[in-house]
Amino acid sequence: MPVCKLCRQRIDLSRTGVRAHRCEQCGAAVCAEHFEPSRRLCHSCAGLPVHQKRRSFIRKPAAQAPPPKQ
Amino acid sequence: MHPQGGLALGDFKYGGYAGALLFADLSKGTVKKVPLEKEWCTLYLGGRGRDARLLFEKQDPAAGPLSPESHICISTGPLTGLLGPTTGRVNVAGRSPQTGIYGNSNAGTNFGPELKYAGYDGVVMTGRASKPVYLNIHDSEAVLKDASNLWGEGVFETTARILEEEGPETKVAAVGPAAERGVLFGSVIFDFWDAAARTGLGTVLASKNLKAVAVRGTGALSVSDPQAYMEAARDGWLAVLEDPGFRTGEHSALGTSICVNWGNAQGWLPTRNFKESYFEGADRISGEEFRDLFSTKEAPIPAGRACFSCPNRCKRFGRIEEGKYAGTKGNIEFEGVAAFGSKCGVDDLAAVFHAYMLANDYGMDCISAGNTIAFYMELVEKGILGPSDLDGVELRFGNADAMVEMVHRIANREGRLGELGALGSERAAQAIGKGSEAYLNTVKGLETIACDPRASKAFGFGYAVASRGSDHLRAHPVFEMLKMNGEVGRELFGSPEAVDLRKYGGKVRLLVWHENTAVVTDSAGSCRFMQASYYAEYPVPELVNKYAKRKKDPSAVHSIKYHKWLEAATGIPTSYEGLLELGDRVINMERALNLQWGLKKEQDTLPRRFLREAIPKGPAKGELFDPEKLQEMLKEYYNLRGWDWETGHPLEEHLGQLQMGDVAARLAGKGLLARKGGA
Repeated sequence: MPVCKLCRQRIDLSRTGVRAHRCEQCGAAVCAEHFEPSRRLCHSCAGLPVHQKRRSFIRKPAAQAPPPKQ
Repeated sequence: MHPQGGLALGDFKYGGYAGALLFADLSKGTVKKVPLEKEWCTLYLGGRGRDARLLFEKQDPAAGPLSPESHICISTGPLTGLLGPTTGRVNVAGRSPQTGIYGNSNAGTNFGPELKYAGYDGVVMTGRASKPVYLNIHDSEAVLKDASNLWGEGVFETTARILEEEGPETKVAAVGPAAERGVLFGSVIFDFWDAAARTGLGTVLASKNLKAVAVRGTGALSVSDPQAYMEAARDGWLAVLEDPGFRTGEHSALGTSICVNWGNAQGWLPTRNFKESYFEGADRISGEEFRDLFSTKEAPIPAGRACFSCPNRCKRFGRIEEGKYAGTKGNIEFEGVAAFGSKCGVDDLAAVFHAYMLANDYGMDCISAGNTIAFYMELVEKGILGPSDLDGVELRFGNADAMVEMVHRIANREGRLGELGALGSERAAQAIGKGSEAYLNTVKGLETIACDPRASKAFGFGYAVASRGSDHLRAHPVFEMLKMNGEVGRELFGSPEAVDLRKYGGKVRLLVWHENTAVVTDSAGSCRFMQASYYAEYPVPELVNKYAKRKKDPSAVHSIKYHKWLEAATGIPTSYEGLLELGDRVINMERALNLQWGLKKEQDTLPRRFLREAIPKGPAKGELFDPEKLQEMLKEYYNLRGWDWETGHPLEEHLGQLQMGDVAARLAGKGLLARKGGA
């Protein structure tokens, strides 16, 4: 089962109507959500904001937390 | 040539097995492949059984659970990865940091089969790496890789990053930050969601600086007698598919959360730290509610995920799309729902789901975490914990926000209650004092699962004697809950009362049978639901048909005959009686381990609450576990197990019958062996 390069979700080809899209610039497989069909590019190559699904909700102690953005 | 079953490894001829174990010494940074001991295959089968034997053999009894000298095993059985119902189980074993005795947990995944396809029946790890590493296995190549960048990351992030690195077909067992920080009930999470969580073995892995084990296998397995194997496996499939419980489709549709409403109706759903056993909010945290609110339709079968080769697909997958927990997603099970739901008096399913996924992501046992929070809530209610203890968290039954906050605090060991909670409720009670022990629900240091023992006697008795502490999965005696024909109970367990969950008759024999057959499923590598829940295992379908009003032709009754299945797979002559004896052998092996690690006979008991406080309301109102009955049952149990009543030690004669003479000799040297007549 291919995995979308941008959201890392598996693209379930066993479901009707679901297909993997190949970006014509970088060649990566992406899901429909991260494919810009008019230009046949993935959202990353198309310069579109990549909506990242949040992977984790854990709270890291201050020592481990990433520095705040400037 | 890639290992095909055992055939590539010298004289190892048994089918089903890959034929080798992988030993990783993390201190030395070495990984080596060792052929499987043939004798252990015949006497201990694999998985749970072989792990207990291996720990007895390899681990210095004086070694602490978190010392570099401790060993931890991730193992499969001879059926793991083969064609047949539910052959996707994997076993994790070591000395528990939470209880100090035998630690053992089991998960349904694709990891076990993948490990077999890579050519290994199990991985044994010891030592401590100088920096964080993960063990990457790709067929015959096994290397330790740097995991410094993964240390501190949650299980989900860790797993995702390893998949990015090693490829999407890789299977991953990971530990989370809770285990790294020394929370004593750290879990091992397989492939994002599947937890081997009980007894804190994730903490053992983390203490070795081992963040994960990743495996990719492309080999194959062979069986000894393919034709007989196919017949036995087919019988097994049909037995499951024809089971009345399976045919309703409810378990598949709702997952194990089907037990929320069922347990509530039968009066055994633990509520508010076991004060009660009937939860008025059960409907709102039920499997039906989860399906309606959060089930996703992304999976091939809507919201259902299955372990390897399972027809049941009981893993229910969901996602929260909106509200303050939006983005939470994962696989939900009954035990976690009850731990954060009814036990804490919380009926907000989104909060329960979120807390559950947090526990998985932090990598800690949701049962111990939920029970500890519920325990705190009762201490606040009783005035044992006051505002100065709570660090601003308003801990009271039903407060979902406080429950979620405590999950963070325990995992990160924040504040006094977070620090104490990370040790589990029993050690927390010892530190808090002021009579707080009266509200514990632990046996041998392990928190009780989501079935009130006062309302369900076989489960209750099982908690008292289970080798890893208060737990259902050493036996899983669902038999008493299914309203079976009393004659089936009489024939199998000597009493028609065995089918009545409130009665004591036949329950010891019922438990011993379930414990022995549970050992077989755990050691073979198949799922407990085949042995108990669906009762597809021989001879139950045959007996149910014998006493049914509408009988089938006996030749049309199918059952899972593990003796035939295993014999066809491995080529080792096996009988039904032989497998029951194997179960007894493994239970005795686990007893020997526990005695070495300091277990006392007095610990075979139930918490005070279950023996003295009757259930105040609901369908099981007035029930308690009669202390005198418990003593009678223990006597009968010790007798059946071949243990001395005075000391709880195994009898030399019984160990001899079980071909455990070497175990008896070692126990005798430590004064842990009994002889008939006390000689």
